[in-house]
Amino acid sequence: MILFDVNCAIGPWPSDRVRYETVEGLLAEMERLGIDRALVSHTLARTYDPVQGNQILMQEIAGHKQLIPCWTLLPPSCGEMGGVESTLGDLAQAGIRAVRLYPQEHTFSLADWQCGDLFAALAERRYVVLFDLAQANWSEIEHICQTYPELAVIVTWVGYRQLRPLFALLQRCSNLYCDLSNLSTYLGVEEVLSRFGSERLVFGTGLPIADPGGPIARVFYTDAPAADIAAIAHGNIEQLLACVQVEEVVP
Amino acid sequence: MKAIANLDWMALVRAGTPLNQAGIRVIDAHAHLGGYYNFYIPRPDAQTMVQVMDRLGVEKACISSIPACGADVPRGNEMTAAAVSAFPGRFIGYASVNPHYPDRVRPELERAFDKLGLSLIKLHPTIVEYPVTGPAYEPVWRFASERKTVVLSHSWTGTSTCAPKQFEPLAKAHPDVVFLLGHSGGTPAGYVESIALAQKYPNIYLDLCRSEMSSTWVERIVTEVGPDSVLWGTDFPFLEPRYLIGRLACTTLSDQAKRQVFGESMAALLRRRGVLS
Repeated sequence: MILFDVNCAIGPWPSDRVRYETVEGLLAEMERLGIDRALVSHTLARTYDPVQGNQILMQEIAGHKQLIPCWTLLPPSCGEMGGVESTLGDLAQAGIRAVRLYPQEHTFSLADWQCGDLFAALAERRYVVLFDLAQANWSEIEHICQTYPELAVIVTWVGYRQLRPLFALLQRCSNLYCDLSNLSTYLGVEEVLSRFGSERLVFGTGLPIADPGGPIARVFYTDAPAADIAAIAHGNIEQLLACVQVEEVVP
Repeated sequence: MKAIANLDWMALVRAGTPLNQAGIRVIDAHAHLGGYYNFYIPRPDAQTMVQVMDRLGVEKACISSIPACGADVPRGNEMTAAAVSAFPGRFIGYASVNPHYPDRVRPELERAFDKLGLSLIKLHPTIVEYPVTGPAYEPVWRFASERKTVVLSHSWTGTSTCAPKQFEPLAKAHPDVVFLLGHSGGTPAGYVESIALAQKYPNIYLDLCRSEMSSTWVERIVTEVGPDSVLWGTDFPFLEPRYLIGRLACTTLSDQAKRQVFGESMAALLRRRGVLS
């Protein structure tokens, strides 16, 4: 079974000792754990500077086709990444199909007055957008999903106490997905499968900050048809990334 | 099935094999029973829990019902006892107390042990908002000493009720009581504090029951404390035990250390305390 990790990073981490920091370390860990592909961000884009972090990411993962870059974006208000069209051009040129946002840690609002133009442009190209739940509240996620239905929104690191709002939004927003890095409520995955089917879940670990073994066991100890397991393990994210229209805006 | 030396744990996990079928003894040292007001838990009943345990190869779970942890202690202890009695050999029951009624503490423990058939003690000082060092828990330590039993307590660094360091005077004063620090202090700072205590006091044990503990921390706790004094726990049916299985099974710890933590260390402790024969 192919495992495609949607929630993975390289780079140093300031507040804890992590298993690896480098690309070589990530590749060794993926080999040990049987993870075949990963959507990778750079921790420096989160903890230091998004622009430089994205550049460092591209340099460090170059030549490793199993590592798919996921850029960290800022809203256009201060021009740190240029305007929206410039950002979209950079994404297209680099072949980026998935982006992350850290509104809490990077101190901006997800509301339309700050991010509306960015989300509209990303939605036009059917981008995959990831948030840790700690970065965005459920109402913000609901607004983004409803206002920009062409976006694929993956909420990561959900936690075990969130099934009440999660189920409400999975019901309401067909473009909302959830990763397995911390969907750790007892029988939570079984419940999602029975109510919403396998197409709303994607495999993710949170490496190297989080534990990868839990999500791996969560996949392989799930009693569901092989096609559903495959969809969660790799199929759903592959389909979402394939829908991103990066070719059309390549300069 | 006979135990296999130096098991390929990654292959085991990828095959979704129930752990007992690979000769691994699994005892969940920190589990619960029933729902909770704060969030939705699908099917938290004893029968479904046993079905999940069967699927995963978990032999026994040591449980305290959710109401016993605070909302309604006597009702909760009865709920725990009903599950223990309905599924013989699958559950071991923790008794709990409400420290805000000190006169009821010892009678409730006597009722729970002697009439309801519970055999361990569980405290949740955070839920009841009463410090583990408070005088109302004195009867608990005396009772635990008399019965030579194990006291599992929620532990969380930075709290005023059950930070790991608050267990030091207790462990010192009651060397014949085993203190199991649930969640190992709950945060990296708490893990460091808990490791130091478990290294210093042979009657302090730690568990790995935590929703967000990294595998790096699992390895550090087990390596620095030793697998004899670290127990596998899940908070089940709060947390999904599959995550906790993977978190330990997929570490780089030795085959022997994993087996000890998954259940052999708890089995040895329960045998020494007369709970298991």
